[in-house]
Amino acid sequence: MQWQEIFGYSTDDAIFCIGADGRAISFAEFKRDLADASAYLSELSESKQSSTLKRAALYCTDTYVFCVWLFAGLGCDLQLVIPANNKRATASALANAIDGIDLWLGEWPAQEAAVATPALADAPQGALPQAFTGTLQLFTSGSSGEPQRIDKTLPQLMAEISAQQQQWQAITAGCTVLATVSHQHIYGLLFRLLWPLASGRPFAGKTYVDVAALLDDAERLTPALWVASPAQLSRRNDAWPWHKAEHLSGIFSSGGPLAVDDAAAIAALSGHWPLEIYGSTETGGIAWRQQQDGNILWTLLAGVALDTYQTAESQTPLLHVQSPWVESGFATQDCVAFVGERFELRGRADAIAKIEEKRISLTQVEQLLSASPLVASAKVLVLPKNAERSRDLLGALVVPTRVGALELSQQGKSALMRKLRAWLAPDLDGVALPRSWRFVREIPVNQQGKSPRELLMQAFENDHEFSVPAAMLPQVEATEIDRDDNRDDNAQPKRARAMLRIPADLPCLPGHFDTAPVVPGVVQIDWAVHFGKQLLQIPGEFAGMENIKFKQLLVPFEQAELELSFDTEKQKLSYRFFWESDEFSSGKLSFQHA
Amino acid sequence: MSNLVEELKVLIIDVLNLEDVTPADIQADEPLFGEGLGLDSIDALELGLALQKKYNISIDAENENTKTHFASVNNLAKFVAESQGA
Repeated sequence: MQWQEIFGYSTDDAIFCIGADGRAISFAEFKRDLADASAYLSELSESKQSSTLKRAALYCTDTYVFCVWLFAGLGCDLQLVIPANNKRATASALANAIDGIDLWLGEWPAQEAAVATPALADAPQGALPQAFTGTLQLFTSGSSGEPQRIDKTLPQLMAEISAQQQQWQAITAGCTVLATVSHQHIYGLLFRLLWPLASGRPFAGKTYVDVAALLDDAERLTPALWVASPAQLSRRNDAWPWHKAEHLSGIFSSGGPLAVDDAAAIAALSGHWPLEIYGSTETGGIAWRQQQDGNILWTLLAGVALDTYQTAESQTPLLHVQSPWVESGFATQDCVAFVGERFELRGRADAIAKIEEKRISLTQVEQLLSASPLVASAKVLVLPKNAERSRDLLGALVVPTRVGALELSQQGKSALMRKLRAWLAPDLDGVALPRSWRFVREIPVNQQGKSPRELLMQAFENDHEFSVPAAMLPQVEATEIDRDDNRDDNAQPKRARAMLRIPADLPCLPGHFDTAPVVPGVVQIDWAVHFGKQLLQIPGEFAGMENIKFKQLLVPFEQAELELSFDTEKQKLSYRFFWESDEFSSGKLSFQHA
Repeated sequence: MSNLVEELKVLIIDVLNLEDVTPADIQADEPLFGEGLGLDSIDALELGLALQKKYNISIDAENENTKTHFASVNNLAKFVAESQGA
């Protein structure tokens, strides 16, 4: 593409960017930096055999620096590979891919020796590129698994920009673009960089973390636009200087749908209903909505054509997208319902989870976990936001290996959890690290031999009804209540049995004892009280014990049967923990009416 | 200061719903993000918000020092103490 197709600045004096240090950078200054960076890349490609310099990985924190190397690379006909992060695993996945990486541009801590980006001031002086013929490779917003590589050409990206410009020019005209999202994703790349370039507007080089600072700058640089995401918009502080939002012409949000409460709260605080953009790395922008007046429907962007398709598994129609900026049509996994020209989104049809706008492949997290020497097998699921969880997060159900189980009983759950999180950390974005952990003897399966989500969920549901914390209880495999010959279902039952499995992650095991963990006797008595109250509905308070005997050690992973019988006259509960012919403990506990 | 360190550990556990983590599990000088406790970018948002609300301090995230402030519980405690004293 030619200069004038990409850059809309009318004069060399025009402000191109507000640098990370707050200094205004002119279009002329950008051109000088670009010329220098281009000269550096040309020299490099001549010194190598030109055939070996084709693919360059690009990661920069600063959007201005990113912009300079991006266009230098495109001007040198490179393919620029733009991953979401510069983590070790990302770099090694890129390096090990079939086509590899010939040049590391920007910040690559893990590839230190190979990185070849000089400070711009040190680059040789040179001439500007004539045209931009290179291509881009972006990645889906995966924070786990193999993020998918999506090839894009500059003309494709600019075609979408022109549709966005057509839709929003009244709002965006003359605005400086401030962003709380990264340019390393398609949404940030388009909205905070390529779009301002095309319409000749300034953009801020830094990515704001603090909304208060963004609002201060909106006032200073008025009028401004905020390129945001649901993750940021859903975390607000009323004390931020929201009155300065009058200097914003609009707030864009993309990456996932914004909850209606968040949209309304932002509208109340800032005076702007966020402009939500629906799209993906594969498809680019598809549609937009504003949730004003209770609207939930999405309106197509100019140039986009939609139809639906159905698969054998899907109950609802899925969206198929065609637009000038999608190579050939793309079949999404998004369920959809049309209302006239507009449509409602009804969740995803596949098993990819989305947390905080990041796609997470649960299978990949499971595979990574299972590769740990501490883990025999693992299942990972999304635990939805509720009264106890302020956000959606991942839960992991883990069957430890012998080494893992020993670690668990010696060091405790918190230590093993931390070890496994550290094991995953180099390969996964933080959001994809499981937060809630359950260590079990085996992954629960249903009669069909499958482990549906509902079944796995049970392991994470805490039982608040009884006084013993759920983490302190054994796993219950079956219970049986014997109502005697009494046919009255409301009568207090006399006898009960519970089939128990001793979890290896009981908080009482560490230190008790280091080399051979056993369930302490007092914990067994607690369990007898707990199940007595639960199964036999014993109303009183625990008052004393007699004839307590500990015969054999009860150890993690073992099975035990608990036999309970309650003498209502004496208010005494007899209990016995045993398995086949082995008896672990027994005794009598007395209760008093409260 | 040691009270503030303990208070911040409890705040971190509460705000971020760190299940099965006790204040004793968090080393006051270990990294909070990345290695160490392994918090993520969303945690950073939530923690920043909670600190602003609880201690009424402003966190200038664009300030280069912010990364240092958030590096560990000890650093956070120092930062909170200084901001309140200021």
